[in-house]
Amino acid sequence: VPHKPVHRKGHVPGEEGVWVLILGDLSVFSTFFLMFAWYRGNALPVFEGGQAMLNKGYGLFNTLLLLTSSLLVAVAVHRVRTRRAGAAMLLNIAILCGLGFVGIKILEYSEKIRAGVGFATSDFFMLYFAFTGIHLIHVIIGLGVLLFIKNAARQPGAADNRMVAIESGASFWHLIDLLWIVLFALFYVLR
Amino acid sequence: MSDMDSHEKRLVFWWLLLSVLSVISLETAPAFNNKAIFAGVVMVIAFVKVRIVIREFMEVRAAPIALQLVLDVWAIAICTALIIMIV
Repeated sequence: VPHKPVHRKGHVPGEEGVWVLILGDLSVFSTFFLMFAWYRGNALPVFEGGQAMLNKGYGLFNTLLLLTSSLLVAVAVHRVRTRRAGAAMLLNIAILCGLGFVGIKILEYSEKIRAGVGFATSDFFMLYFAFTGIHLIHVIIGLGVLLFIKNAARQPGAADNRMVAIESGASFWHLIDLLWIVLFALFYVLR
Repeated sequence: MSDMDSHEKRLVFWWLLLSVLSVISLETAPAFNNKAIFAGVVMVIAFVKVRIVIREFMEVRAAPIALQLVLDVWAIAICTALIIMIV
C-alpha cells in the first residue's frame, strides 16, 4: 500500500476549527502567564515563599509524563497515517500518562490543603490553584479526546476517513502539554 | 521499539531533548548567583520547548506559513513580555 507523505506542505493538522480553539486557549493562558508575572513583580517575597513551598519533584515528574504522552500521541498519529500497527496501544499508554498527571496533581493539592494552604493563603497560591486547576480541567477533557481518537484509530480505513479527527484531537493534547511547559517554568522553576 | 521509522526516531530525539531541558532548567538553579539571569534563562528554555512541541509534535513545521508565523510571533511576544516583567 503506498503511504501518504508524512508531511504534506501547507497542511493544517486537524480541523481548522480546532486551531481557532487552540489559538483562543493560547490567548487565555497568555493572559494568565502575564497576570502571574504582574502579581509576582508586585509581591516578590510572597511569590518566592510560595514557590519554595511547592514540590518541584511533582512538577518535574508531571512535565515528563505530559512530554512522554505527547511523544506517544505524535507517534500514534504517524502510525495511523502510514497504516502501521501500534497506534491504539501507544494511545493507551499516553492515556495512562495523562491519568498519572491527574493522580500527581490530586496528591499535590491534597498535601497542600492538609497543610492548611488554600486559595486565600496568598496571591501566589490563589494563582497556583486557579491556573493549574484550569489546566487540570483541560487534561481531563484531553483524556476524553484521547479515548475518542483511540477508538477512531482502531477503525478500518482510519488513515483515509478519520485522519482529520485524529489530528485534531492530537493537536489539542499537544496544546495541553505546551501550556504546562510554561506553567511549570513559572510556578516550579523560577526562584 | 525496533520497528521505528526515521520520522519516529526524529520524534524520540525531540522528546529526549525536551526532557533533558526540563531537568536542566530545574537542576541548574544553584549554579546561578544572579536571579535575574536565571529567570531569563528559564523563560527562554520554556519557550524553546514550546516551539519544539508546536513545530515537531503538532506538525506545524509543515503547516501554512501564516500559521507558523502567528505561533512564532505569539511565542516571541509572550516570552519577551514575561522576561521584561520577571527579570
